[in-house]
Amino acid sequence: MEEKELEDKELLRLLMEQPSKGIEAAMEAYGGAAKKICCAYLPGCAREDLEETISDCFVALWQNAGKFEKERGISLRSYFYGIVRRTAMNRRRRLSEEGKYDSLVEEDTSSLPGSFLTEEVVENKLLAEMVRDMIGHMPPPDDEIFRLRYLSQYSEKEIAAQLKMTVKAIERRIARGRKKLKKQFMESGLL
Amino acid sequence: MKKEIEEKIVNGMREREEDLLSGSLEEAEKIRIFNRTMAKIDILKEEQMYGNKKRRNVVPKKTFAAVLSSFLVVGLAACAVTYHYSEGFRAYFNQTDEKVEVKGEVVLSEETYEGVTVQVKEIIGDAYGCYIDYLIKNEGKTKLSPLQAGEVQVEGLADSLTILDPVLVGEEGDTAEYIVGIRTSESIQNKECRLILSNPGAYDAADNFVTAAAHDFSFDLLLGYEDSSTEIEVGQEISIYGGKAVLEKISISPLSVTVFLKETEKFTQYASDLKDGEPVNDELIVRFTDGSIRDSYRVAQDYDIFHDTTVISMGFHRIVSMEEIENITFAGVTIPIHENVSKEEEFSYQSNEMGIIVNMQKALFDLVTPSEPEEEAGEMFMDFQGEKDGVSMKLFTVYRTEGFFTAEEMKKKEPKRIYLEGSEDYTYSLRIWEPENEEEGQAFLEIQETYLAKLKERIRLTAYSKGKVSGSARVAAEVLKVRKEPSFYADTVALLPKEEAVELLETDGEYYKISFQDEETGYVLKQYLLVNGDKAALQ
Repeated sequence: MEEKELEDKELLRLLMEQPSKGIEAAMEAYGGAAKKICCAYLPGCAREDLEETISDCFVALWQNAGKFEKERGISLRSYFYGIVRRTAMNRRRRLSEEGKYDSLVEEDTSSLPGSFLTEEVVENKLLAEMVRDMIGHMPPPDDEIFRLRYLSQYSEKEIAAQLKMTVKAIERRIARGRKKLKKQFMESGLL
Repeated sequence: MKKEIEEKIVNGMREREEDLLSGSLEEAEKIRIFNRTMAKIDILKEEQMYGNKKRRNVVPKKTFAAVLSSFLVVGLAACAVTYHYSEGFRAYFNQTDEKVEVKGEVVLSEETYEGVTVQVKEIIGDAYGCYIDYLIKNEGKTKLSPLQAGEVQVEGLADSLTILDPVLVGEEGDTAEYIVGIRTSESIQNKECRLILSNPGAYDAADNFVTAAAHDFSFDLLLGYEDSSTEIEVGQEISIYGGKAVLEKISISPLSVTVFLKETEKFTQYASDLKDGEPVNDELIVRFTDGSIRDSYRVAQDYDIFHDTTVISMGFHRIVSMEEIENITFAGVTIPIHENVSKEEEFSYQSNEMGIIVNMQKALFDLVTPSEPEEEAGEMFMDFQGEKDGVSMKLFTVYRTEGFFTAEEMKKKEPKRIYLEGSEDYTYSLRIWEPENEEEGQAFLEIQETYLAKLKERIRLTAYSKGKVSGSARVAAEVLKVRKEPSFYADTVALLPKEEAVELLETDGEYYKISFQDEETGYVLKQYLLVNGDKAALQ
C-alpha cells in the first residue's frame, strides 16, 4: 500500500511539474484500463472518437492532479477510473445527441478486440476496485468494521463487542465511511 | 439511497480480486493519444496562465504568511470551573453560568494561505483529552462562507485517538469559529502534537464540497496541564469482555472521567467467544446532581469517548465540579460521589411511538401538556405546550427525523434545533421555542432559564421500540442468518437465500421477528430485508 502511495505521489508530482512526462507515465500505468473502460461504454465507436475520449481522460487527470487529495481515501488509480467512466459516458451521450452514434452499433461486437469487456462487467469491476480500494484506505479500525459489516454481515452490536467499542462508535464510523463511498460513487456516476 | 449504497458496497466486496482492467495500449495508439492529450493540455495551460494574471491584478497578494517552526506551550485547564475560557468554549460546553469570566481574544498561532487564515485560539483539556478552539477566516476571495476544514488530523499523540467532529460555535461575516475535541487513552501531558487542518472549504448549492485553499494548515503544539483531577481508588472485581478485571481507579477532571482496569482473567478477543447472554459490560454512566446523565452507550452528538481495553475515557461535554456529580457507574459498579445532595423529584412523559422519555422537574412537569405524536414530511414530532398564569405557549418540540444525520448535517438542515442523537434509522432533535411576545416572556422566562436550558440532557431515547408489525419482505443479503432470539448471541436456526420471501411479525430493536418456510419463526437483522412497499424496494 505504501509503495502504491509513493507511486501515486510521484505520478502526481510529475503531472504537475512536467506534464509531458507525467502523462507518459500515467498512460503507461493506466492506458490499457482506460481503453477497456472506454470500449465498454462506447462499443463499436470510431477509432478517432475512442482515442479522443481516452485523451480527454488524461487531460482530466492532469487538471485534477492538484486537487487530488490523499484524504479522498482512494488511490489515484481508482480515482482515475472514475474519471474515465464519467468521460466515456459523457462522450456517449454527446455522440448519440449528434446522431453520430447509433445505439444499435452496440449489438455488433464482432469487430471488437478479443479483450473486449461488456459494460456490465466493467461496471462491476470498477465498483469492486473502488470499494476495496476505499476500504483499504480507511484507517483502522474502520477498515475492519466495514469488512465485518458488509462482507461478514455482522450487526453493529456484534462488531462493537468484537472490537470492544460502543455501538454508537461503530454506527458513526460506518455512517462516515458510507458517506465517503457515496461521494465517490456519485462522482464516478455509479450511483 | 442508503440501501442502494450498501448494496453496492456488499457487491463490490464480493467481486473477485483480479484485475481485469490491466493491459496496455499499442505503441502507435499510445503516441496518437499522447499527442492529442498534450495538445489539449498546452491550450489549457495558456488559458490558465492568462487567467492567473488576470486574477493577480484583482486581488493583491497577501504577504503576512506566518510560518511556525517552534512549538507553542499551551496551558490546559487547571481547574476549569474558575478557569477563564473563550466565548467559543462557553457555547461548546453549554456553559451558561454568569460566574464564568470570558477571556479576551487570544491567538496562539495563525497561518494564511491564498486568502484563507486559520487561527488557533485556545486549548483546554486534561490528561486524556483536549479541546481546541480555532477560527477559519475567508478574506472574501470567494463567496464561500463559512469555511470548514476538509479534514482534521492530529499527529504525535497516541497511535490511536478519537478526533471529534469539529463543532461550529460562532460565525461572523467571513469568519467561522470551531471547537475540535481529541480524546485518547494515553496521557497527553508534555506531548508535542501537530494539528493539521486541511483544505478549508464549504458546500456549494449542489452540496459539493468546494475547497477554498488547497493547503494543510498545520500547528505545532506542546500540551501541558496542571493536574486538577480527583482520583478515586476502587479496587473492585468486575466481569468484563468475557473475562475478569479489577476496576482500579476512577479519575475525574472538570472535563472528563477516566476509568482504569487491570485485566485479571483474560478478556475474550471476539464477541463470538462470549458465553450465551454474557454482556460486554463496559457501560460507563455518570449521573449528575441535576438529574442529567451521561452514558457511554448513548453519547449523543459528540461521541467524546475513547476505549482502550484497560483505559476508558469519556468527556462530559460540559465543565463540572465534583459537587455536580452524584455517582459514576462502570460495569455495573456504582461509585457514589455526592449522593447525599437532596435531589429534586423527577417526573417523566414517555412516548413509545416516538421512542422517547422526557424527564422533568416537578415545577416544569406540572405546567406542561404534550401533544400526541404527529407526522409530517418524514418527521414525527411531539409538541409540549406550557400553561402558566393564564398564558399558553409552545415550550419545546421533540422531533424524530427518518435517517441518520450528524450534528453538523442537522444544523444545516434545521439550524434552530438542538441535536440529540442519530442512529441508523432515526435522528432525534429538540427545538426550544422563544417567547413571541412580552406576555409569554413574562410568564415563562424563569421556566426557560431554569428548566429548558438543560432539557437536552433529560431526554432519553428508548431507541428501538418493540411491537407488532405486518407485511412481507424478501431477503436482500446473499445468505441471511435467522436467529432464535433478537440477539447476536442467539443460536442460528436457519439460513435463508437471497430473494426468499418472509412474513413480518414483530419489530424488536435491530431485528424483525419473521415467519418463513412453513410457519417457522425467528429473528433477522432489519437491514438485510427489503420490505415490500419500501421505497428502496421500488427502485
